[in-house]
Amino acid sequence: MPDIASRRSLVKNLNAKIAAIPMMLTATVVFVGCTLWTVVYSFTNSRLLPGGDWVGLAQYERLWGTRRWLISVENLAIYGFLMLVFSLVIGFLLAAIIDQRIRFEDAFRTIFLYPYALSFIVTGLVWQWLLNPEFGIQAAVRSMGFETFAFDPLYNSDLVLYGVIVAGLWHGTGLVMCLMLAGLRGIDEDVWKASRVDGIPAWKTYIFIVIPMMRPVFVTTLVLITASIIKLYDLVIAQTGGGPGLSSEVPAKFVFDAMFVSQNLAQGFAASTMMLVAVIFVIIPWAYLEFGGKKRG
Amino acid sequence: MPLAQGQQAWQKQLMFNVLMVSIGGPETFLRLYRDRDAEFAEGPEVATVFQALADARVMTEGSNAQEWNIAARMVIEGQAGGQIMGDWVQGEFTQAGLAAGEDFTCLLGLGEHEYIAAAGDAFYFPLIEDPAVVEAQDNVARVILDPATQVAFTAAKGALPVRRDVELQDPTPCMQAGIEALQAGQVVDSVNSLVSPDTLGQITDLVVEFLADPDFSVEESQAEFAQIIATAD
Amino acid sequence: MQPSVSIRNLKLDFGAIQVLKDLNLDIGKGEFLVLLGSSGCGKSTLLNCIAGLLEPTDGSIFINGDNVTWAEPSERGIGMVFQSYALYPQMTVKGNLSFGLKNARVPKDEIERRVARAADILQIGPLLGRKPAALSGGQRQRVAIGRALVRDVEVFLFDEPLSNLDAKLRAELRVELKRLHNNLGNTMIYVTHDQVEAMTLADRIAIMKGGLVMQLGSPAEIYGRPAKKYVADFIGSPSMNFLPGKLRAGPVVDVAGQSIPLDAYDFTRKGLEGDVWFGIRPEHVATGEAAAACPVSYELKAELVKPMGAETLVWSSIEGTPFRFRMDGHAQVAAGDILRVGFDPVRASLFDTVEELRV
Ligand SMILES: Nc1ncnc2c1ncn2[C@@H]1O[C@H](COP(=O)(O)OP(=O)(O)OP(=O)(O)O)[C@@H](O)[C@H]1O
Ligand SMILES: [Mg+2]
Repeated sequence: MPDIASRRSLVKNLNAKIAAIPMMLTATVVFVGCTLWTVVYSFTNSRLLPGGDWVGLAQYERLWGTRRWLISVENLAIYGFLMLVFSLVIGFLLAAIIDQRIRFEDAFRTIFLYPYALSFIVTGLVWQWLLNPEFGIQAAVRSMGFETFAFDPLYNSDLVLYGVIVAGLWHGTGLVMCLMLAGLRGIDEDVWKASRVDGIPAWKTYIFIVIPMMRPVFVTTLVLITASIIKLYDLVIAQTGGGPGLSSEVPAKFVFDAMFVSQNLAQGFAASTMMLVAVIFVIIPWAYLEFGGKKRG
Repeated sequence: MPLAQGQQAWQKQLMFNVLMVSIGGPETFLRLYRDRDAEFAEGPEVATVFQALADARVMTEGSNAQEWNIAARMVIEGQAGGQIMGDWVQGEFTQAGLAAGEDFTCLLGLGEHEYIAAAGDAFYFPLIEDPAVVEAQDNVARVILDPATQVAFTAAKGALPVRRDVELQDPTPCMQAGIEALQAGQVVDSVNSLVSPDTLGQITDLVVEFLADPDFSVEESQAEFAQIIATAD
Repeated sequence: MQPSVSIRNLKLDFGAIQVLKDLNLDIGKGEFLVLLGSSGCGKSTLLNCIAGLLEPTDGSIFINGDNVTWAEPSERGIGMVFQSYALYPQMTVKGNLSFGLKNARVPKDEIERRVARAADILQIGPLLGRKPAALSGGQRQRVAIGRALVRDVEVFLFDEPLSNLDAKLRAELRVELKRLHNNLGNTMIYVTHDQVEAMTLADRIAIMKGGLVMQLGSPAEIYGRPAKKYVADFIGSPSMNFLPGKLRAGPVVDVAGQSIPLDAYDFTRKGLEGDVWFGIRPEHVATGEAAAACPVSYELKAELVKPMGAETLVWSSIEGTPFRFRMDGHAQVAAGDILRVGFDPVRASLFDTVEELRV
């Protein structure tokens, strides 16, 4: 009897289970499998092709002794922090302004969202031109008569990262704004009315009532922004190529160059494993807060 | 500015290794890249090369071009004094209507050690049984290496032919100098064929960083360079 | 006595749509006024205007004699309770009650006192530490009422506060609201489209339609002497039967082949003659023995019988005009039965057919 029962449960929804097999295989083999494979081979001295000898942590020692990697990590930290803060703040402010039922709302929303429809490559090129001293903003201002005006952030090691951040913000804030706007629109109008009757100023209502209510939207937005931060690559390629010098290098570019330019797979694997570790360090406390807390409460 | 310089990494690496051959000399070059003598890399010969690189750092200040041909344009338009580049750059100058020897000139090995670092692109053909295809492959190879093709191609590109036995029709003084160097055997292997891409990548990163950061001292960079040579493969 | 809230020539347009058209209303101190009307008639809009959440296009609003037409909602001396509770979900019940007060820089001990009092009145003391998500619908609405209560205001505004609750809870809270009103003596303006709620709670009911007040009066007046056919039709379920008739001197009205004497009818407008609607409520129709005793009676065929437990509704018609009436729950009737029905014209309502005003 138990035998039949177990067979039944296996056969139950058999079609659905068969249909799910490719997806499950993709998820386990491609995702988990490749991740593990990458981590394992980061402990070898693989060059152009995977293989080589076991070298323990040597790749990691070299990685953390490499100036370019350290610069990349620092850049990503700065970019990530500013990107998160500013895209959330600007995106939210824009959404809050548009939420006042201003006229031409659709037009504004389209304008702000439009950059997101462009690839990072195009965004990078556009901003490279804008910030290029020969034919960008500097040239335009100079042609208006301010001959000594100087504005070439992309050619200044100290400023280049901010040039990239501006392009990143231009590209990404529109989406954040739309998500936030959807969140704001999801807030019951009566809550706004109640807070007005209570005499709470609008900014306080946003901070103490509306934003806490938008927590799910913020979480989604945060995940999207974080993903785009970590995979930052094409924007830098198009806008600065990592320069001047190494001053706008980022980890994803390090990985790519190590694997395909320097033909040192293991070094690239070590770098991407470090990126994975960083992601895990971000995700675990968040997941704990998000899902762990509920069971207790 | 004295020296035009494209911002891409490979151009900076190229400049560095040109300095290595022409300032340091071919022996230095080979001792580093072929023999991987790390001790030598810390020595005074290499120090002069890094000093030269530091001078180049000052001379290329403000050179914001990315591509090598944009940098060449700065020279053509008179904004820059010169450019360190491969022989192919000649094509840009002649296309702009300038005549070698009159409007511009070439300084092989910067006038010091007149050596050429030889590198070439390779054509690979898949191994195929079909005799018709094999014949077509042979045809392509024959046409490419045909002296007439080489003459026409090199004239347009401005570079040296891959065959030494072709007579170039009125070669420019630049090509002439190159041919003479070749015939005198003043050739070293390209750094690409001496060290692994990994090592070259490390050297490139170092040079790029050195050129971008005026506070990066000669001593420090030389020490890092020696470190790379010590672990080079 | 000075009215607590008074509305003068209030107009409000949303673009081209006129939602409130020249509306006048006076609400006395301590009065429980219910705004009743079908969906979209402008009840919420009027309430929002009183609260200051909408700016009127024209007209003025006075609260306690002060012209507050342009005052901020928080400065009008009103508290408001919403259908969706509109609690602040991330704050505890206590936080919900005290947030507005803290913001208004009310002293701490005063806040404590008011919160304690509200919690006491509404019996939500044990819930003070909870978040709204951990409350039932009825508890949430109590908290929402508490939030209005702590404001220590003269006028309470309710916008369908009970319509998200199930029938039983609604009945309970209705009683509680009535008690609250009796205890506090505040002026309350209460929007609903539930007639029973309106009837049980109101001191006076304002029936609204299309941005105008159709009739303002006590529940008994509204029910017994509706001023307009619309009001008569709107109030009562199933609604009043309207039979076409002819009013003649006498006064007598001819309805479906019978001449009904109206000597006892309390005329609003005397001496009118011509076509009228003769209205009689289903619950004022008698059957059987009682019908025979009525001044007017008809023989009808039951077309549809709907037993409701305590009573039975019967659908029928008089000369092609639908006619509904109520019978006792024990009555044995089936579709097709011939019944005798009767009524007393004293309880009828007559309306002219032109303006449909009470005769
Ligand atoms: N913001 C608005 N813009 C345009 N028209 C509106 C707006 N708000 C309400 N209206 C219109 O005004 C009229 C009155 O709306 P209101 O909300 O006052 O109705 P209500 O009587 O409260 O109805 P309900 O019982 O359904 O709540 C409706 O016809 C509605 O369509
Ligand atoms: Mg409403």
